[in-house]
Amino acid sequence: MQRKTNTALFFITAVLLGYALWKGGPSLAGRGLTVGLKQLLRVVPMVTAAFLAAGLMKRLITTELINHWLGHKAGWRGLFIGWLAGSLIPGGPYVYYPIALSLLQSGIGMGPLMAFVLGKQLSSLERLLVEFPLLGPRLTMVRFGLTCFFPLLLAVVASLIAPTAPGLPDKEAS
Amino acid sequence: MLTITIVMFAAAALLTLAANKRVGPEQTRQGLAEGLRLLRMMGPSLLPAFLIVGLLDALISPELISAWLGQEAGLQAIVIAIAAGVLVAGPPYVIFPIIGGLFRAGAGLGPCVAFVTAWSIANLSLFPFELPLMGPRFTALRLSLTCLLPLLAGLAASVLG
Repeated sequence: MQRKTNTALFFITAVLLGYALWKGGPSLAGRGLTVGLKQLLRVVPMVTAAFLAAGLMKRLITTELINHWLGHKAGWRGLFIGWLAGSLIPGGPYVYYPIALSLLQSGIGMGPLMAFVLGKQLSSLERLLVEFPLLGPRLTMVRFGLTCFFPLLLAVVASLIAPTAPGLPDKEAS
Repeated sequence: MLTITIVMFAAAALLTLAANKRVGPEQTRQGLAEGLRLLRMMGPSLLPAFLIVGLLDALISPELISAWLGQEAGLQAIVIAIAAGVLVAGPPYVIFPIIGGLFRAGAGLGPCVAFVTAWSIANLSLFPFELPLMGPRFTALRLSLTCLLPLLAGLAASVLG
């Protein structure tokens, strides 16, 4: 997966490099490569810190902890804890969707479940760590500021529309 | 940029202390090792991602970016950004440098915020996980709740930017 991504990226780089050489000769291509390398060097320390923090968060915020937090919480407390848990849990969709499924199977309500998934997608702390160095502070803060409360807000709407969780996917429903 | 670097290292240091207290030195060491392993794994993608950023910067004129994705391009730019956010799949450490580069080169705050928001909630790569695990009912509810968010966030960011 990772190797495929890299191959594709280096292929795109080669195509762009070829186009830059054809269009503006070595000076244009060289300018592009220099700009890219300069920006890369600037973000490397930040990205290193971000990955160290992400590795530590994995040890601190475990699936068991999330399950424990969300165990039998209902009402506002459940919504808030769902949002917090989603915002804190590290990992991609291959991590948080299986956790969401286990929460669903343990009988969590629709509100806390929605707060968890949307919290991961819109107000994730781990994502914030990556966004700051790569998107820059202004874009990151505006994006986060505008959308970070929506998981909670939309989870309230979800719990009004469909108070109970959706049940298991069709193939497992009786 | 220097301030952010310092803040991020401070955050990593605080997390190290917290982990040391809560889960012990062995788990803390493993957490740090896991972070370095992630860096080794993702690091090689950062090089071509940033070379692409630099080459796009040299190849695409600021006028062209402004015309398509600039603040003046208005609603059209936001709609293009949302479509791209849904369709363009890839890990954040590849996608974000390119969006950050476009932003510095003249793309508007609105379209960039719309892209990241759409990419976060509705990127096609999410559905192979969400549909089989959570089922169509949850997925449909989540999408109907959030479908206007990229547009609203993009428009609000345009006003700010």
